[in-house]
Amino acid sequence: MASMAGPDHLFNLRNHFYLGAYQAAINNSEIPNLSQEDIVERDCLVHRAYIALGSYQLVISEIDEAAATPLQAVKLLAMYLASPGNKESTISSLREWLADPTVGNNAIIRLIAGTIFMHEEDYNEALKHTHSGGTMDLHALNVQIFIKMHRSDYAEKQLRVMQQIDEDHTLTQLASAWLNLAVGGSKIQEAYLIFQDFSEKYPMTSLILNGKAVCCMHMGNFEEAETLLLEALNKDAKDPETLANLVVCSLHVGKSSSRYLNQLKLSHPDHVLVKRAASAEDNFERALQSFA
Amino acid sequence: MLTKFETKSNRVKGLSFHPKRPWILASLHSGVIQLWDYRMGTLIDRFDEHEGPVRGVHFHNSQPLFVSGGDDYKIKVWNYKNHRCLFTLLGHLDYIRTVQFHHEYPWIVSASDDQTIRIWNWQSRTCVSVLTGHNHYVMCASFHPKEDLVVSASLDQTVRVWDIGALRKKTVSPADDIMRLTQMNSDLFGGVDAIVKYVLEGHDRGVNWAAFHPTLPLIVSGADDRQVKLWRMNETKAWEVDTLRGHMNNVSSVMFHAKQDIIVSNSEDKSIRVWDATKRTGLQTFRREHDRFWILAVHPEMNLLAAGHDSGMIVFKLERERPAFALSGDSLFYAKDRFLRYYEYSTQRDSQVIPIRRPGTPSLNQSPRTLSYSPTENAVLICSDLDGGSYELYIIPKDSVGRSDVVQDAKRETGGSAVFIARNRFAVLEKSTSQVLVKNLKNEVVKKSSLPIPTDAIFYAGTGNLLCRSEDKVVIFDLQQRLVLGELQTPFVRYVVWSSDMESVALLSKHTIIIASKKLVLQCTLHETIRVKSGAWDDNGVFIYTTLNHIKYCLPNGDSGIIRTLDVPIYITKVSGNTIFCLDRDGKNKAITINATEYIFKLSLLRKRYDHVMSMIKNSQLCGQAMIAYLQQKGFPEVALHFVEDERIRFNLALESGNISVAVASATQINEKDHWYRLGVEALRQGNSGIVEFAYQQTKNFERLSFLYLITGNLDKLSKLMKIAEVKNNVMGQFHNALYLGDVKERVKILENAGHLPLAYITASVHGLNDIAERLATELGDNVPSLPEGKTPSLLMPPTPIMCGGDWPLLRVMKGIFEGGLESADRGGTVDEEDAEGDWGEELDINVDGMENRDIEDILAAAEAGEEENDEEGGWGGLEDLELPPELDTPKASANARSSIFVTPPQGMPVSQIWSQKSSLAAEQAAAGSFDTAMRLLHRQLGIKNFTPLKSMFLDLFNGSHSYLRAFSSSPVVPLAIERGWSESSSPNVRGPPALVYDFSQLDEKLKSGYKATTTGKFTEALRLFLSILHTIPLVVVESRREVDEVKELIVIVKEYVLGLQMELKRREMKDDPVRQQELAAYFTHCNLQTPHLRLALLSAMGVCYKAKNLATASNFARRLLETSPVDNQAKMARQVVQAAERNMTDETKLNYDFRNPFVICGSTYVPIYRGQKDVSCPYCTARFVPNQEGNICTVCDLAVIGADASGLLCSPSQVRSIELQKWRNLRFAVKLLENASSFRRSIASVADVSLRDCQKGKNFTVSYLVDSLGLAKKVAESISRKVSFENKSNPDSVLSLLRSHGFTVSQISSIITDYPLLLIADGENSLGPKLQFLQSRGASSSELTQIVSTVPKILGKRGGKTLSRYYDIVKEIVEADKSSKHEKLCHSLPVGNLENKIRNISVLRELGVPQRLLFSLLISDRQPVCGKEKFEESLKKVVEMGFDPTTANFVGALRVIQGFSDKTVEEKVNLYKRLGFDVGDVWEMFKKFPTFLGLSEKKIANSIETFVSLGFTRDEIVVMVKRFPPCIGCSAESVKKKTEFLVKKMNWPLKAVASFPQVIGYSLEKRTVPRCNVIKVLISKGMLGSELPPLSSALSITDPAFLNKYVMNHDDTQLVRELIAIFTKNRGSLTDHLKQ
Repeated sequence: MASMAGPDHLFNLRNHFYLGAYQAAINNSEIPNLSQEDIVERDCLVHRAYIALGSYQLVISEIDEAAATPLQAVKLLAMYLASPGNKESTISSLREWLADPTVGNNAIIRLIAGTIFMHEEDYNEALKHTHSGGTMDLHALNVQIFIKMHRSDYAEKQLRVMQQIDEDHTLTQLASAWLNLAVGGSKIQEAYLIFQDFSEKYPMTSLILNGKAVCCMHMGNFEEAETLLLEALNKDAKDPETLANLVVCSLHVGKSSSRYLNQLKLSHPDHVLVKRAASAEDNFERALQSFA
Repeated sequence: MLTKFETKSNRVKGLSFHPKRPWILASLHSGVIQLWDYRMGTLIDRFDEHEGPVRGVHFHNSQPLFVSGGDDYKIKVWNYKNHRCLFTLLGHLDYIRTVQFHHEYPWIVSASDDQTIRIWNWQSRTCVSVLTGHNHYVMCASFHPKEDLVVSASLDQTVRVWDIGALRKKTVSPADDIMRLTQMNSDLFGGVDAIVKYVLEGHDRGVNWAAFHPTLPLIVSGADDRQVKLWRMNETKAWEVDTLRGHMNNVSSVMFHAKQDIIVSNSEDKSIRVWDATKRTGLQTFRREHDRFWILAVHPEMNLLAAGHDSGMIVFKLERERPAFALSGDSLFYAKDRFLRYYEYSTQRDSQVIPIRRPGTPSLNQSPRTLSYSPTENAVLICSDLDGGSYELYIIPKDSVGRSDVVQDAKRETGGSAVFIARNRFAVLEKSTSQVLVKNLKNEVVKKSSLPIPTDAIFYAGTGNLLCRSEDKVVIFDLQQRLVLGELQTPFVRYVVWSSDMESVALLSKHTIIIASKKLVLQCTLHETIRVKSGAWDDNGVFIYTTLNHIKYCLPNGDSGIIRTLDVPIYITKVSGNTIFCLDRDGKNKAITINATEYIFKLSLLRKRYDHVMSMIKNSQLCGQAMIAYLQQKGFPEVALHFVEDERIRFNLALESGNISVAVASATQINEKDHWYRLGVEALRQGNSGIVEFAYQQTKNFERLSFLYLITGNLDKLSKLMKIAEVKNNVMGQFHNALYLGDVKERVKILENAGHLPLAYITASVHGLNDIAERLATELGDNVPSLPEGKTPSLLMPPTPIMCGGDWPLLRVMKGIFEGGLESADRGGTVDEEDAEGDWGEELDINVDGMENRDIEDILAAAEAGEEENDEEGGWGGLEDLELPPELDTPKASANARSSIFVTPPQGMPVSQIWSQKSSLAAEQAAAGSFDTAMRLLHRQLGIKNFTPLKSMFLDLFNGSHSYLRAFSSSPVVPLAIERGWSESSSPNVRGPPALVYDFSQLDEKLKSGYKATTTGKFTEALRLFLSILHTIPLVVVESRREVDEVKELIVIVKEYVLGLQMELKRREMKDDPVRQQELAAYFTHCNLQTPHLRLALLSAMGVCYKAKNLATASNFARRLLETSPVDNQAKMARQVVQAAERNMTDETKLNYDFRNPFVICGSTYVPIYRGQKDVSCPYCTARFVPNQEGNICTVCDLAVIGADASGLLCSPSQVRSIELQKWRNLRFAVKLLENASSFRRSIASVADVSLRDCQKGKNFTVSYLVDSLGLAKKVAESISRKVSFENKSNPDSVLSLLRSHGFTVSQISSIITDYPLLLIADGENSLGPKLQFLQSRGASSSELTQIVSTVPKILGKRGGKTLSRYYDIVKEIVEADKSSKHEKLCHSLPVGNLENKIRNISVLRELGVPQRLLFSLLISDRQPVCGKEKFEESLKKVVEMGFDPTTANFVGALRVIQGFSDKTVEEKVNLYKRLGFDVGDVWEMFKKFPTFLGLSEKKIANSIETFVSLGFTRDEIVVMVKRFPPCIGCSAESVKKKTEFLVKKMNWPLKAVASFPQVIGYSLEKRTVPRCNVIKVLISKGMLGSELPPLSSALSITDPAFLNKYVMNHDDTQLVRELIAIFTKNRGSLTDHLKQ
């Protein structure tokens, strides 16, 4: 239960960010009368939004040495994502930071650490920094890590913590949708309702549309999923998840998926689907060898 | 109390409601009678003729009359229409207290201080009766509403009931004389025709008021003793029922409520009290500060009351009548009485949902005020005023429309108002703190938020938003952002109605309607003089609302109007098209159809939907001055034009809209000068000179006309005009025209004729008309004027007009779209319309600009306002943050948590891994990414070796198995496994099989397009399609058995096409080899094709052969073609070929083609393989090949290896189930053998164990016999040897030879023996032989016999004769049906009788997956479960629902029980078990474990129990035993006894041990229990197990090998081991020996 007082100036900004309306988050970031803390949070959100949009260099160049610690962490994430070649050095500086007790406790640094180690698929290391939570972002990240580890039991525990803090928080709702999707069965419907609520409350984003579409797919309703995804594609023709889900959806409705797949390969060669498809091909060839 | 109306005046002593109109009469102490309209709140009239106070007043119920009585002893009867007193009745001798009209007769009853009651006839204006008897002032008297009774109250402390029946009789049968006589009598002697019926004594002081109950025989009275008394009466007596105490001073008036079961009283103690008439308890008290109450009145029809007091009166209601309701899509939830009800608009169905209040609870003002409904959760919030505002939360059960009268335990709590703000969240107002609590459906507080303004009610305002109301404004507040989204100053808002798109909101106050946008930007305000009651938005965005007496509309621009009037108030719930749905005050749903034309029309105008407007003008009846005025006022005169008949108005409108032609038409009709003139002016303005001319002509306005001609240069007409002027003798006009024409001569002439000779002269001379001038000069003589010198005269000539004749360029008049549109519509043209639209377009632009300007200002203003607010709130924010300790705690806690040790949990199993573990279907393995497993499966099942063509399918299946979820920003995407067959009820965390991208229906589609491509001759395309089907099938999964068969059929169909098309394509390549071409064409016709395709193939083969002069062959094709009944031209061609061939039946070349000899075609060499020749086939597609192709990849499907071993296509989980079961059985068996082998190996190796070998000997013999004589595999032979064992081969030999002699092949015999080993020991000569012979004698062919017997060998176990033959027939049918996989046919082809049922039922079971083994035994058996039809289906359904697995024997067992017993029997059985101490759950569990146990007879059960008891088990123990091992109750008493006694008496196990391990009762004594016990005994005797017996369960439940390991083999002493083994094995099978010992 959260008792509230006074307006939450960053509410919209955060919501935009969580729901994938990154450009809207950036555009509406000029909020008057913010406290110092709020300003730092705002800047972090804006820069994270830029990262989400893929503008890594902009973030790297905008955040200078003088910026606050959390912002430095955000910059680190940008550097990690911008140059996979140099990730060793990025990770080592991240580790240095984490080792420093004065800054290592900062929620944003821990969040970034969790994110980066998740990319590294080192869930152990990621959880080391994030498991204790403290902010909604951290809890949500934990939920996701546990889902990735196929430990929905742990994810559910995290979610319950979030629900205790603020059941109506956008991240709580999102996280419960993720978990519902991960455990499947009748819960899919609940996930769908959550995305439906979002779509009624907030402007449509391709994240929401994708969420709904994924629910539809899991409920076996591929036609509706396709409609939703095409709508998402209209909003953002390069969104990797939209393309990936369209590939899957097209396969199920018996249409050709190659256009979307090629588009995805071109724009996001590192996407999970592309990687999975590539490894599947190798896998197939290998299996073929055993029969030769 | 809900005060509806209040007046200030002198003391009010009498009151009366008008029965129909919203009027009330109030008689005052001052002598004035006031007539009020309480609805409008206006004083209609006042009647001031009484002197002194008027105490009684009453309306007549049908005539426009009322009566009054005052302290001036006068009774006056008034006509309120004429505003005057009609007459006065005199007779009373003191103040008159009350007067009342009779409801039927022309009577008035009056009560007076003169101690009498008088009844008057107001028609004859005489007193008809005087009722005497009271001995003090009579304070009140009134007629009974139905009967001939009068009740009166007097200060003599009594209430009297008078019977006036006699009076009525007299009046009803009026003989004038008699009447007059009675009147006289009554006058003289007092009322003999009205007698006192009852005198009610009980009040201690003077009684002020008494009143009848409207329907029941009850009287209520109020007196100066401060009491209200309730009296009851019957035919003979009346008595006091109860006393209501509570008033603190004299009770002035008391009455029964007309509609509710309550009593209302008022008193000089300044209060009104409401009492429950049944329970006689006080319900409510309303006090006034200073005013004593004197009088009460109850409205006869409506729910209204009125009370008069010292300084005026009030009209009030006790309870709100507006039913609480909530709308959701097509349904309405509303509260009525104690129930929540549900109404569906589309069906107009009304039903009760749940009770919301317990019956009999006091109800005054506790009925729900508002309702809020959440459709997704099916939850309802009901708010009422109870306990100063509270709400109740109900969850409507799914199967909602329950009749149950049980009140749900609602979640109830206090709170100002509660409303859903999201699917599963609602907000509750805490008025005291101006806070709102957000709660979830468990009624737990999720969040608290303070509101921006002091709020006294909250309303829904979109998801997550609240509309907060205070006295003078409303705000919309976003609960999450904690921001005010909009704010509006309003009067006190009572109801909030959102439009369905949530874009607009209507705020209803008492007298105001405010329409605003969703951000509370004011759109319009409407004021109503009458109270606004309700409203709803229609589909077009018009707000439809009701006042007390009207249904009205409000357009978005604020225009409003009346739709219709209302008799009674209604509450609109929804507007749908022309129908208004509403609730009335009784809570009934009604649908009112209205004429929406007017407001739709106005709306269309407003929205500039002119097409709409036009069609409405054309099609509907719109008329009336109001509409015209509206149109004119709104600037649409051209539209108004279409409504008007009156020419003058038409003319005006036409001029206004510039429509000249209409104006001309109207002007012609009117033909008045003024109108012509105005027409002329307008025409001139527009430049329409023709009309101007016409108008001037009509008015004969020559001056203007001539000027017009002048400027238009129409000189001809001008000169004509001049002529006219001349004729008319209009000199001036003539002159003017001459001047205009420049005709000097004429001018001179005119001047001359007019006598202006000097002027004429000057004119003439100046213009050089010298001859005339001279002539004039002579006429003038001396008076010739002199011309001024020095000036050159010039002729003034009018300028030549630039344009002559016709109109000027017309002024662009705003041409009505309507005009143009209507006309063009009439003409059917569209050009005009476009023009017109262009015109409007410009206008629109301007409007838009204007709007924008305004909007921007608004936005700026709003932005400024917003900034100011933010400033303020920022300042407060800091303070409040400080007050929140919990947030300070958070970081600390997290820091602690972080330092504590955290262990990352190990990763879970990915779904794909679960899939690949669970599944044995190739497609599912591929989807899971286990390609190698998938390939292995396909290889094993279908012999596929070439997987390259399947690559894309594999990859697609894999790619389609996961969706991708972007979860947290910038973190890796989460792939989620998509499962197949999702349903709402699938449970979470249980993994279903993967969703696959290929399904069978797609293949069907492909097949169709393949057919189409074939028909159109696109063979390459067709081949590609068919091949892709063939390549997809291995990766298709279907659900049912039936579909499996369909898939298998499809393979064959497609294979034929692929082969055929491959040959056809090949043929086309071989242009230079005509022989081969013919052959291939010929073979093609032997592929199994669809008839149209076959025809084409035949046609082509015929053509090819004919061309190659192989006429005989060609004619064969032609004949075959003709057999397919081809289309005409094909048939014609075929006939020609046949004719040609008949003449010359030869073949030019020899083909490798013999159509008489059946053949199949080799799939790779394309040569025929005639019947009898050897071939090999493709294990997958079943294509056939010549033997030398064995080992190659099949050229037809391009997948499988020709001739490879394969187990067959596996494409359905149902197949897998049975196979798995089979596998599992095999596995278990194998494990056992393995165990045996390993455990025995040691012992056998170490010691030469003779006895063991002995035991094995029989078996070994059997095994070797089977292996040798039948060529069975050793394992199979061993398994058979467990069932049947023999030591010499004579009998088996004879059986086998018998079988052989009947034509059974070796493989058939081995399958028979495998299935039915007992046959080997059957009596070959006497039993089997005759049976087989008998079957043969019935005409069974040898092949049929062998096939059927080998399928169901058990048939041979049946008795010979009829039974045998019957079953033989059945099996035959099934086997044949199996082959053609057409089970449906089965039923029809069989003879009638129970067999039919049996067969059908069995095929149903087969579909369900019941194993063959059980099926045939069912078939052969005569027992219940598969007989009957309905019963069977019913039972089957039950058993399936109970969750029995069809592949187990329990399924059949359960079926047997369920079908064998009626529900009643089952119930009895269950009851029996209940009596024995089981609960229903136990019985159910037991039933699931061991279905047959329910089938036991009561006697048997009783016997068993008795047996157990006699053995010393307690009842409880028995129950536990049966629960653990249900079959134990079915064992025979003897066996139970034997086994138990053995264990207890011989082995000394305690009885308890048996009780806790009842399974021992099921173990075979000879085979298991005794041998093991012997071993144990020996061990104990040798002290090797200690003194204790081992636990019963461990000794007996483990398997034999485990037992041996544990008790026998683990001893070092080989001697002992040998001994033990001897004991263990020796006594097996010889129980009797043991018992003898």
